[in-house]
Amino acid sequence: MPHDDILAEVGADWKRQTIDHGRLLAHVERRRRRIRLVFAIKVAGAAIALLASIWFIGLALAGEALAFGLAGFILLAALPLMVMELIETRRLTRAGSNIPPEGALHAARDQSMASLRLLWAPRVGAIFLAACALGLVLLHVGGKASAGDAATIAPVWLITALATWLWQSRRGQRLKAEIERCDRMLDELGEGGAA
Amino acid sequence: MATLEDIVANYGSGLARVAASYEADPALQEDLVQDILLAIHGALSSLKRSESLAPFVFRIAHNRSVTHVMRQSAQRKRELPEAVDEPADTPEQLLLVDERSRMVTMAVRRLPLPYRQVMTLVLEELSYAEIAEALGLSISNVGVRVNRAKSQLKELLHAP
Repeated sequence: MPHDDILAEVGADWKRQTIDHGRLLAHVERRRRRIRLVFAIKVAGAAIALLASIWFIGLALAGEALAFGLAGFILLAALPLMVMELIETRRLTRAGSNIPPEGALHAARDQSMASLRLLWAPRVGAIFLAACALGLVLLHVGGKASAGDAATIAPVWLITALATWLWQSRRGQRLKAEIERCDRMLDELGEGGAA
Repeated sequence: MATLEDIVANYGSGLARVAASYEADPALQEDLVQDILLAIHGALSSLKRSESLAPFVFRIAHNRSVTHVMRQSAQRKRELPEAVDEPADTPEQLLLVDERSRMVTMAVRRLPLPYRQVMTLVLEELSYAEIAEALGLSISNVGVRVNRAKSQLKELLHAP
């Protein structure tokens, strides 16, 4: 059978697969609204974190418990990560319109590599948080923080630090798998190009 | 400028078919199609007046699909999506398919990536020039790939 007969035969079967346009449009519109809402919540979260950190540091400077200063400092340290994520989210929604698939794969690989290289930041953050938890306990021992603060805030910080560390480890494994898969796809595309 | 409604009406089924050539899971297929449509909608302002809509739309579809495969396969820790078993029909599946269409999609999905990309666009009735524009290839390279894709597709469809 000549190849073009195959195309004619396959083309009809291929084109017979259709979708319900109204349903798809409704789902896309719903997702677009959800993405906007999540983005707005993230912006609000970053703004609240900034205001809260200023307030907490202000309280500590005004002579309140040192735990406020620590909390404010932690929030302030987390802000650049929150802002970076917002910028990245915005950038990703517009990426990929003017490059071919090979370029998109290279860009995705670069992005995964960059994320892998940046894993140290949340890991340092987790260590910092754990150190702060320990610091709060020491402040309590030294009589500078109440037992209530030490018993409630320190475990929360410690659990957050542990969860962050574990999550970043899992993320690191996933990013490595993504890069590996990307390399295989780029090889496949390269072989096709060499044909 | 085209709206999201226009894109869904004119290219919705084509985009869903391209997504199905990368992703076997119906739920993830729909997710991918939505992702592609949102990316197209977000990028419409960058479409040049002289640029045709079809290569633009399908370029984004393939770009989103390759990165989807990269991320999903890493997440699922599975091998190539070609090796994924064809899932059973579910009421939620996006594409309305019959057995013969499903076999064709499965065969297209089993093609090596460079051949799969050109084959989906040939089946969507894009010209060689449009395919070249969408995939960033020369027209002669598109011709070579299409011929090899047809040959491999024939083998896959007639394999026992």
